[in-house]
Amino acid sequence: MKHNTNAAEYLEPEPHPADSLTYDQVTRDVCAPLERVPGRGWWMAFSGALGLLTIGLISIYKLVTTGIGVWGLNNTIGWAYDITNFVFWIGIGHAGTLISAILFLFRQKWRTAINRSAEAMTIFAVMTAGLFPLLHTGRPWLAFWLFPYPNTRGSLWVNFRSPLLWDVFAVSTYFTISAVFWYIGLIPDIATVRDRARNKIRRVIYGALSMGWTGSMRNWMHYEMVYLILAGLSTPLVLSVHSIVSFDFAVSVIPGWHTTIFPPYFVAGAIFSGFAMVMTLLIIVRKVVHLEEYITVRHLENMCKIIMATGLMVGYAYASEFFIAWYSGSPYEQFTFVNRAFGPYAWAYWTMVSCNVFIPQVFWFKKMRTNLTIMFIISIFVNIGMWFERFVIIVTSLHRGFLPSEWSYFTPTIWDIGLLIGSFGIFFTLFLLFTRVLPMIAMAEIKSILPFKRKGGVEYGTHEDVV
Amino acid sequence: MSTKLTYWKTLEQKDRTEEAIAAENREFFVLPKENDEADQSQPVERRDFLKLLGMGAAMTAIAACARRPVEKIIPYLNKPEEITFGVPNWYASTCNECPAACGTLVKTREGRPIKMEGNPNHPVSKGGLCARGQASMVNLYDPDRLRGPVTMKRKAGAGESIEWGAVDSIIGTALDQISDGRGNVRVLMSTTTSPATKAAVQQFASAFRGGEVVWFDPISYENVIAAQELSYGTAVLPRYRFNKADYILSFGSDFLGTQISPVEFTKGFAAKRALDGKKPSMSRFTAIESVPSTTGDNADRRIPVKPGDELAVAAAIAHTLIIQQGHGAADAAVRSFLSSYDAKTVAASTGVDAKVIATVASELWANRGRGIVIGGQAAPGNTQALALELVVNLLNSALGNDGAMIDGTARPSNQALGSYAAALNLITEMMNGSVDLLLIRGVNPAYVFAANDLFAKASAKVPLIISFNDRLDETSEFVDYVCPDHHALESWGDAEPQRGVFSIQQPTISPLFNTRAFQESLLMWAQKSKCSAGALETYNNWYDFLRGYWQKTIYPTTGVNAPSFNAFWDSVLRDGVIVANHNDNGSSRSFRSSGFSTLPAASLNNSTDMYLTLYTPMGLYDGRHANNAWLQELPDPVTKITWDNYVSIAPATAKTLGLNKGDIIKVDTGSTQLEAPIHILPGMHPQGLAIAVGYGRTKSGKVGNGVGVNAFALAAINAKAANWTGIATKIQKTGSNMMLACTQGHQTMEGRPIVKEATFEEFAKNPHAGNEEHHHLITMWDKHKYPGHKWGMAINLNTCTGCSACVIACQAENNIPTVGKDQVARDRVMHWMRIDRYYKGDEANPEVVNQPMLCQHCDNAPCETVCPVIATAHSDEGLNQQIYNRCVGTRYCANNCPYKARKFNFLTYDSAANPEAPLHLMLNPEVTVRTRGVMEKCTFCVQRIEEKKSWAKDRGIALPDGELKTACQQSCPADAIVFGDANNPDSKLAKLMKNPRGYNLLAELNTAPAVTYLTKIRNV
Amino acid sequence: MSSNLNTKGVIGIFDDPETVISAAQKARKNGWRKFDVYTPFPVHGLSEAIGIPRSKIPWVTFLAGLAGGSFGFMLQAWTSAVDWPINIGGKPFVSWPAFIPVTFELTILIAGLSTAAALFVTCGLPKLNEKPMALSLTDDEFGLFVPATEVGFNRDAVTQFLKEANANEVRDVQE
Repeated sequence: MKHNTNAAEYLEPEPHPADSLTYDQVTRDVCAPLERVPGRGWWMAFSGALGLLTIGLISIYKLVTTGIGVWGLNNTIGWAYDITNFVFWIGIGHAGTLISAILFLFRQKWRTAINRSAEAMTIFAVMTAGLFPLLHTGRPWLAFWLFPYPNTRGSLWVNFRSPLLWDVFAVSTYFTISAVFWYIGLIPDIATVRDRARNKIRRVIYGALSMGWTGSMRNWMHYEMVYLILAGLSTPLVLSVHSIVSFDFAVSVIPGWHTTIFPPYFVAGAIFSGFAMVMTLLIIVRKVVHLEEYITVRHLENMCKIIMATGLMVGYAYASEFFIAWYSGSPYEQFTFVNRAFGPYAWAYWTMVSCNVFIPQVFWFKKMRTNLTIMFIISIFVNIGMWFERFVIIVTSLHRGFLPSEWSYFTPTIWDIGLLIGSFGIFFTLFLLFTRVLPMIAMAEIKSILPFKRKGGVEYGTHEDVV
Repeated sequence: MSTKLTYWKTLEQKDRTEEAIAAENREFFVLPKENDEADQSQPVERRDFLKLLGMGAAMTAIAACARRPVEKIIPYLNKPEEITFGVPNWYASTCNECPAACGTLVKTREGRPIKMEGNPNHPVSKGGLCARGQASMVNLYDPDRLRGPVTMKRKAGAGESIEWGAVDSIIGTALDQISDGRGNVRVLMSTTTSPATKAAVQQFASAFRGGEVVWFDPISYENVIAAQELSYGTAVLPRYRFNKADYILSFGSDFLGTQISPVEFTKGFAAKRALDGKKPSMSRFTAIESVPSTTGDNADRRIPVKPGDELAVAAAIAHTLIIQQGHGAADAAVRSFLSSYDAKTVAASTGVDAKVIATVASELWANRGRGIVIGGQAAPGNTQALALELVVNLLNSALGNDGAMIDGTARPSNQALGSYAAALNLITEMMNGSVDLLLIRGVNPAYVFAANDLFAKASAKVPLIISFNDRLDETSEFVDYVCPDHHALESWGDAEPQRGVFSIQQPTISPLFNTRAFQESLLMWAQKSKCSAGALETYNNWYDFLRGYWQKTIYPTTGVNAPSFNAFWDSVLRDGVIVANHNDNGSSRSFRSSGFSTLPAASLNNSTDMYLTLYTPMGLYDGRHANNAWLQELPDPVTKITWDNYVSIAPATAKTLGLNKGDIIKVDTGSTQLEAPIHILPGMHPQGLAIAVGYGRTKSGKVGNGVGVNAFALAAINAKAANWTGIATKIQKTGSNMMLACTQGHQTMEGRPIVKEATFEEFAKNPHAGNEEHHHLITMWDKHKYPGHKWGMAINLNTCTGCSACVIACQAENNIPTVGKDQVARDRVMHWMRIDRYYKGDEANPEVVNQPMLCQHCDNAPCETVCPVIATAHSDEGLNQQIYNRCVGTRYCANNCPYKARKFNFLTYDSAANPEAPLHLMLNPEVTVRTRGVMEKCTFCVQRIEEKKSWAKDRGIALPDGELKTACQQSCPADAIVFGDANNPDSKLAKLMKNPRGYNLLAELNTAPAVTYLTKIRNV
Repeated sequence: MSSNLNTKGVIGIFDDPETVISAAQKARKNGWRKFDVYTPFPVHGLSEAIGIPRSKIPWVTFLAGLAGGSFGFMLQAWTSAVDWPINIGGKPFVSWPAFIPVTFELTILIAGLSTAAALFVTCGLPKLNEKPMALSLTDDEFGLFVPATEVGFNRDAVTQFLKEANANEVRDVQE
């Protein structure tokens, strides 16, 4: 079985964990953060995250008890930070499944070092994102009405023509399938943690989580099949989710929203922002929990290339929007795009273009692609730029609609900002907890791409050679 | 009684006492009669009991939720007397919110008035009602009204409650002293058109030696009346017949907004501009004004002048017509007056193009006998204003407009009596210590004459002052007793807005508080004291007086052939109005030029100073509505600003002076200084400044206190007159800035086809003019069918004046909350109906269009498609419905609405959801009060639709076209809104939808709106 | 057959995948069919060596996806057109293009969940009471286990076989 496809050959030699690794060392290294008392670095990060989370919880309390009026929205601009945050986090949530599923299908073995944390990031990002559609409703306690459930209020169903309803299905499906995919990937590793457990509580908890996985080859055979199928299902799913999120805008009549390029544009943007966020996280995490041997600079370099490529796609989308607006002949469309670049929100537009299109161009240089500091800074810029992309799409389109009489301007309040900050708190808190309780690297997968060798013994050759 | 009793219930029964036997013989138990101590011991007869029982049930039911007046009043449409629950009763009455006295129908539900509508049978207002009239519910239920009489310790601040009996005896004694000896009694009153009230007040005043009634309105037309007297010999306020005028020339008159009788004038004006006839014809209107007004915004040609220059332009036109072209007779006085106003000189001085003056003059002449020249915004008397009115009269007489168009003889107006001169004279008298008793009703002199504490100082010299005002206002600080009057909806009254047109004012609710009708108080005091007040003494109460007055004075003049006065009275109560004088064609009067000789020598003002003018705002009027949140939040039709007044300034001037919107400037008239924010207003003359009066109340109540600044203080007051316009003023930047809550941030259409328009010339050639573009729309789907009704609306942009009556009518009908200045500034105003106002062209003198904007009830509604929970859907009658209960508040619908017609409850807007008592009584029970987090919008008054559908069904008839009116349509003084069934080919709506002027807004989106707009046509 | 009724079988612990693969190949040549190999990661080539047939789970996925998609579309069509037909935005009751996203999502959702469920069913998960045969089998060692029910099971022969196949350690597994 020859794995090196043509595409892979064009890449530089695959990033790989250090050659000296052995199976038991992998186990020890990956399980170490779970088995020792967290260090100062982790506690500092965690208390910082909890601080942000507290800001978020206070903002949510204020919002729910007082009303949407605590935000800066108005009758012209019905969405701003809320849906910006939603799309931003959903976008972040795309890299995980993309890395897991699409790179898996393309047999990109370098994914194994990062897929677990990327998937975790997906789950937490989608959870964070899911808060916003809930909280942005005027009466969040009734948000369950968005689900089509049989009820005693007579024939009372939902509107399947509404993109918001598509969102409900897309996001919940995405969350469910991603969680299942993640969990199935975790089962063998949790079994490893279980078998290393020194005390009964850990043994019981990890035992239950591992569902009694034994590593039987007869099970592994089904397991691999299921993993492949889930990867296969997740791939169209991940593409569909951001397409559907983009429909929130694309199927509307509002100039600036009503465009057909949105689905691919949003998917590219999601990958772009997702990779940037994975990069931000991994650059920190590999340092903090000492996983430099697993997540190598070469991994990060590959991600830089993807960021650059998707950044260019996003840039292309920006340009083509202008072209189509001009080509359409619709005065409303034309106005909207000129207004984006030169209107009251020009500052936001140019922030977005700079962060997303101009700045990632430095990755053309290998020196930059391998410099961790530069990478980190650029990944932050991309995160900022992609947040602004959603803000620009949502707010600049709404604030200058068809009738100039209702033109308006959005100014955020502290509660808008509080919830944005709080969303990072939710996300980081969950992620930091994850680094403490679950193996951050897919041990079984790493082991399977290591050369066959004994415990610290002599190399026999890779398993492909045997097959 | 049977003797075979074996079982017993009580020991008394067993022992068969006499009482027990007697009790058994009675069929029912003893019920004590209510409040009748004498009869307490007597048993109630069976019939009485049944009566009591029946009445008790009715009373409890009514008392539980209703307050009914004691006297018998008769509803307009329904059977009298009875209240059917859930069915509104309508009472014909008269609006009392300004002296125009429009006819109204008051809708009551279970005894609570909840809405005012225009009375279509009223010959003056003809069914329209302005924003202020619509908002009178808020005044009625205002929680800040006084709950009873108060004795004030002057200057000591708050007063103490007192019983009516105590007030009456104190005042009775005081009156005795006055009538015994010295005694100058003055009644300071705002204009009332009520003949009975006038009679009562006059009788009261005449009981005293030197008793006098002083009529005073802060918004006064005394210059018009004075000029009429000088020109024609009679001091009348003429009636302007805009419904007949082909040409209108106005000099600073806001006749469509605030002047005299705006509803009547708008009706007439719109009738000549509806373009609904077979042959295209419409009036032409030129406005020459210093403050852009609702009226000027509707002019075909608007000429901005600096405040005070209206006279020069008017005189130049007269000069051109009379001297230059020799039209009309001109004697020496006229010649000498006009000689210094030749067009060239005036043009050079005022900057008004001489060609325009010539054009206007020739247009006037071409339309002679069919035109109206009207002067003066409510500018109180000064010689300039008087001269302008004289020139106006001269022009009207020279052109033969007097009589045919301007009626000063047949049915002149009674809608303004007030005079600054009289009020200032009173103040002088007070200063001199010659007034012993001052009664104040309906005016707030301490607020109007706030400058230099004029009234405060004068009041110190008057031993006894009594106010009848409904709250502890600015004036009450200087009075001894406040004896609060009823609100008009609580009291009897009448009105004669124009000679021979009598309307009745019925109470529609028993008084909410311990108040008493002002007339009743006079009656009580006249009777308690020894003074003899004529007929006042002979009636038991005000109602009897009123009825007696009608029986004696009005009934005989009407010529109605009623079987009895009672029958006549009933019919008046039912119809609300009776016309005694059917010949309303005035005759022309001979013009006397002698007035001109009383004027000082004419002089043109060539100075480059800034000049200030005061004006009356659409909402607050003279300040009496300051505590009315609806009117405070009503966007000014011209500036779209709410909750503030401000100094309007021309864009060019603002640029020169480096001023931005909201910058606070110091306005210095020499005698008074005031700090106010500025608003940059296109169409202002570069030398002009304008500020609305009516704001800056300090004691109006929780809503109105401290909103804006009191511009009355800026009026230039001398002993005889208060000048409002052309006041030389210096302004100075203060460096601070404040936020003005404006509901429309952007003022131009950006070249978009939103309001389509054409000139009359183009329209006459091609009725599709301005509306040629029609989109070819393709769709994937078949349209849904609407087999029954298919509701729709047509809005005539050519007649809509932007007066905003519809905005408040909608607010009243649909329980729309007010949100306050801060929320308005955040663009969260809740009005379902708004008036978009756009400017076109030069910002120095732009063209203006108004467009009422509401939910368009699109057949292919973008809002419906995107709602995830079907909280908005289409009815099978074409209504776009919002289901509040189902709404979770995603706001997606509002985002996707191209018309931005949807309004979201961002917070709990208290005024509707949890209003302060008794404001909650104002809510319309047919319309849900929305909670926070819920979207809302225009429903096409679905509750009115359903009501009329049931009405037709009850009668087994098809709903006749025009029977059903939405609140906005009902209120519209211009009849610009037509609602109806598009499926009925004979309906007015169906015809208008096919009108070549008709278009759907943003039709290219294929939203298929149910609202058709008719193009605006300019007769330029 | 078995000399000890309590014996579940015999396990040989191996150090590296290659050895265990060849051991499995030999075991299969012995005619053994029920033996299993426990590994910390899926060792490629091992399932062929043991002779495990291809998984049937893709069929589950396919059928569940089909069912999910049909259910999704029917649900939408039925609620929008049959149970509660309402004119929304002038669109027809069955506005099928608008139903595609939810149909697709339900296809994936049902297919994915069923696939996961199928995994648990085929693997007999969860089996929380089962004790691991050796803790190192989820770490770095590989165990070839021959159950007592194996064709022609003989404890001593199996032990001998495993030792010859280079097992580090061979021991009995008790019930």
